[in-house]
Amino acid sequence: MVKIEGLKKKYGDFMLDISLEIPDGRVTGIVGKNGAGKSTTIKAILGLIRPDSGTVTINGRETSSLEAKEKENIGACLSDSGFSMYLTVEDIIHILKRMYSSFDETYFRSFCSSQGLPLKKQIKDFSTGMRAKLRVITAISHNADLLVMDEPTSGLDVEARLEILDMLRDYISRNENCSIIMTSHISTDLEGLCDDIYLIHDGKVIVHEDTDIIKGNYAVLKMDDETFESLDKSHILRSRREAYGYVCFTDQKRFYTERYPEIVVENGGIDELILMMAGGEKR
Amino acid sequence: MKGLLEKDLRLMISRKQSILIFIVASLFVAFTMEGSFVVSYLTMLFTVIAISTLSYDEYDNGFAFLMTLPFSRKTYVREKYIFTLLAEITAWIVSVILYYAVNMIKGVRIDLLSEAPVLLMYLPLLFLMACMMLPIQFRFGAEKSRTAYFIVIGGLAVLLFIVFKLIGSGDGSIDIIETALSFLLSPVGIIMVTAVFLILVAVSYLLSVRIMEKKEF
Amino acid sequence: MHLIINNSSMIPIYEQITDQVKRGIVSGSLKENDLLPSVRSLAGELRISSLTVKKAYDRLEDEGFVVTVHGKGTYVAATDTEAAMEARRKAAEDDLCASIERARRSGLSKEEILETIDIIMEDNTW
Repeated sequence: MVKIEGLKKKYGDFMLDISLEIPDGRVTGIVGKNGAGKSTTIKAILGLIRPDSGTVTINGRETSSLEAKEKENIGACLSDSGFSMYLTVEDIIHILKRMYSSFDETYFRSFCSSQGLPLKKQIKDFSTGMRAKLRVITAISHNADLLVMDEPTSGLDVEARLEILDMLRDYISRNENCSIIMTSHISTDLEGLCDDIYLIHDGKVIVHEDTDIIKGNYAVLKMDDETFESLDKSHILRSRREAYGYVCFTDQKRFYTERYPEIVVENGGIDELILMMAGGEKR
Repeated sequence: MKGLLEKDLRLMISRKQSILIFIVASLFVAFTMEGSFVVSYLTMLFTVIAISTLSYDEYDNGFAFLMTLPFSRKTYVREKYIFTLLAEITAWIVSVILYYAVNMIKGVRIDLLSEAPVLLMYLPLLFLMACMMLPIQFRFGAEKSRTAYFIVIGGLAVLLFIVFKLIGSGDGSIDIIETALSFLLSPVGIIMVTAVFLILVAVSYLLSVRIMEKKEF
Repeated sequence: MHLIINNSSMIPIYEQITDQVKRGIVSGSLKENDLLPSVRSLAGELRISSLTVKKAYDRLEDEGFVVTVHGKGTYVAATDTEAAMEARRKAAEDDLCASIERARRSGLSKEEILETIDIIMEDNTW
């Protein structure tokens, strides 16, 4: 279980101030605009940075002082960092074999051959998609209980993205108790995988909600000025002026579809959550 | 640490082309020049190459991912020191063999026993050089440390060679150095020198550990 | 068990799952003591979150359609429970309602509809 309690971290003008809790067996997504604090949160979870105050713990142990054995249970996949580009996949297999006692070489090799990753070529000659897949397989080939992934599908084409997501789904079903924390800009990726979502904005968590509730109960309402004036706004989270009138965001879709059948209602998703909650004015 | 050693070894091997060129060049030098330059050159070269694995780790933001792997930062530092030491010793052994072989081919006889102390001196001295470079590189990173290196390496290499050449040539005005040397080679002297050496290495190591433990990625 | 989820529907996904499972039980394609897929494997198959599947399974269990045995999985509950009967009845009522609505839209009067029902029931020997 990953617990962040009152983590504060200052970078010049920017201040991260968050708390979150991810129980075992949970797949959690962290979203937000660029610079909101997602990567900083990931780095804190991986022990790459130390909090100014507050604690970041994995199963009760501070992340910046985890021992080697404890780190074996974590698989990290960072979008902008990996093994040296002068190494080959074959090199990496041997290195991982010596680093992780639960390294599954067969799984790694069969993945490489099915995905067409050459074993003896230096990584610097790989395409973006190949590098991304290599990073993911590196993280999930030693039976880690916790996967921490920062933008694992960024920069990939549709097909590569879906392949990676299916890889993660397969991993999830084979490792019943594993937890995943991932950030992404691609909301559809998260909607098909994550149990719950944290929306970070300006260094703070502004929404924490189960994914199926975001998709089932949150909605975008579009209406003209008159309708907006007389609208019961008790369940409106955000509203914004548009050319045609107003667009509103609610977490009680049914309330509005039952009472205002003429209002245009669109299903809420993570994109809408980000756009409306990290953008529009409060009602 | 085994994983890290594996990684650094493979990183070194990935540069086989440049390494081969260096070896060929030094063989050429060994044939044309007199003296044990080849030993100091090759040993120092491989020591520097070993240390450069640090810059490979750092390149392209590699440290972030590296530090998520299952080892402590202390282990990471320790592995760099050990790897450098192993690389240095291996290079030294190989270069001594080459030195002997080359001179056999040239028909020059070498008295290994009398040359041994001088040749052995290279080891701790070059390791001390490494102990100076490592904390600098841990602290400032590859780019900024580079200038410091060239000065240090170049200067040391020249210094080393001159000093030992002078001692060997038996010039009268170098009596002081000879007396100092004979003291240093006495049992008491050796113990003292070893102690200083070990202290310097320890200081370097502890400094590096401290630097790495404080770092954020 | 093959479920098909409509991602753009107004019906929440967990409800689509419970509906389809109930229908399967009522129609008999899901029999008593059949093992439902594990939460994670079904989630992977449908490409949705595990929590959504768990909520669906929990709802089904609350309504008496399935039973979850810790460590073993989720099984279809005995089909002669009141809940299953209730569901069957409701499904039949819904179908009837839809048929009547259609009949009305085609212009049949209440009397005509009742007459047709009589004829159908007489002709059939269920």
